[in-house]
Amino acid sequence: MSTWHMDDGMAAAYAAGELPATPAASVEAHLLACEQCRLLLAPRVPRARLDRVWDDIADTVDAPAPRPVERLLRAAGVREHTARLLGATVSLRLPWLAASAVALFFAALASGETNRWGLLTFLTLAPVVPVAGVAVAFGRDGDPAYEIGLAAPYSTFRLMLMRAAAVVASSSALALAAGLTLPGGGWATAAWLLPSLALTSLTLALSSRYDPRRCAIAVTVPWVAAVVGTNVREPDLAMFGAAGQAGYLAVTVVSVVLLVVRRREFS
Amino acid sequence: MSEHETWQDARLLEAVADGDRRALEVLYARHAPWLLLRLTRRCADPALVDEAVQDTFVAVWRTARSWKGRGEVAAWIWGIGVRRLLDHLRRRPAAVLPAHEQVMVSAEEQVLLGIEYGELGRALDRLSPELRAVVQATVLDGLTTREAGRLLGIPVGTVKTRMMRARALLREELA
Repeated sequence: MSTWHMDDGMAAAYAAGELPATPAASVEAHLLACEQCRLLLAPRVPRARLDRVWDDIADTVDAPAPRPVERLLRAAGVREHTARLLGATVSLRLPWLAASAVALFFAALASGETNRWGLLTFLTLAPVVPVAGVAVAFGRDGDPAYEIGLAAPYSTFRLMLMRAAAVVASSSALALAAGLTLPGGGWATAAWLLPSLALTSLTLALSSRYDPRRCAIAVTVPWVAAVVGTNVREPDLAMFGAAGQAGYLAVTVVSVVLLVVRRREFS
Repeated sequence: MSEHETWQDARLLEAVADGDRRALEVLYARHAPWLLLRLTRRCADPALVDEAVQDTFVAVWRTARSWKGRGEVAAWIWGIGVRRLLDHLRRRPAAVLPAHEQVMVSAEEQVLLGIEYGELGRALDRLSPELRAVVQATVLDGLTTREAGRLLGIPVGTVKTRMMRARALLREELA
């Protein structure tokens, strides 16, 4: 450690940018190793300027780190507030997505083992996953930002549609990926799609009056009962045939119309 | 007043790595003033300097873990700071011209090392401002040839030839 140090005059000249070349270089080399001389410079910078820069640092440091889903959405060009609202959705978080993926892949695996019964399991489960996801995506219990959402100048209906769309898209992508692993593939990889849309839109339409979780249960229970009922004697995929699919399409259309008509009920 | 203020820089940095925000505040109070003044001598635009200082301490907060625990914390902070300043100079093409002009002027005033009136000091003073600026950016500021070129607004090849010429001249002077 050297015994060379700045004096006040030198510190003032350096801070003002008036110190000649060679001594300034000396000061800079020395500053890196000498705390005493660094502190000598502290009062030479206006307090207000340091405080202003610190405030900006504090803002950045204190901001919560965005969740993975939010970062992904931002990267895809979604605006910040929209990404934040979508990212707060329980059923778009990684644990939920992981759980859905595991359930779907096991169902797909089962269909490889036991043929028709297994395929039935997959086709029954795939439409239920987005219904569950939508049920916890909004409403008093499922939405961590529910109170904030009520107070914010943002259409609840729009928020609900946006989240539902994101949930349906993500769980459909998972179901499609699981479906592609099905042995034989063919029509079964997509036969769940219309039932899934029908159940989800029906849940949303009912949610205009009742709690979304109850609606999800009210829709899921008859669905599972119907599948079990029509297949209890021997596995029969009639519910997923052409007539069935037309029925699901009709339910979807009616539910969407109902949803649009009753949209004011949501706010 | 808290116990943080009695801690050494290295200990503060360890605390920052563990998410201690108060430790960052103390580090800022200690290191922001000299960093700001030294960066001002490289770039005369106060807005750019403020942003570089801000980015530096955000980077300290995020990368405190990567500090190896050896050497001066101040030197580590300077290494981040001067590169953040370069980032800002590069990102703002509109501001580059005046900023670089200023950088050249202020950088020209700079010379290497702590021997004020010795032989080396005189030898350095005799270098042309262009050669001195290159010696200063590479030796004193610890920049690579590419980074020095960016700071001074000259091509990499020019940095290399000027550095070679400066070395030859100094050898001659000191022989």
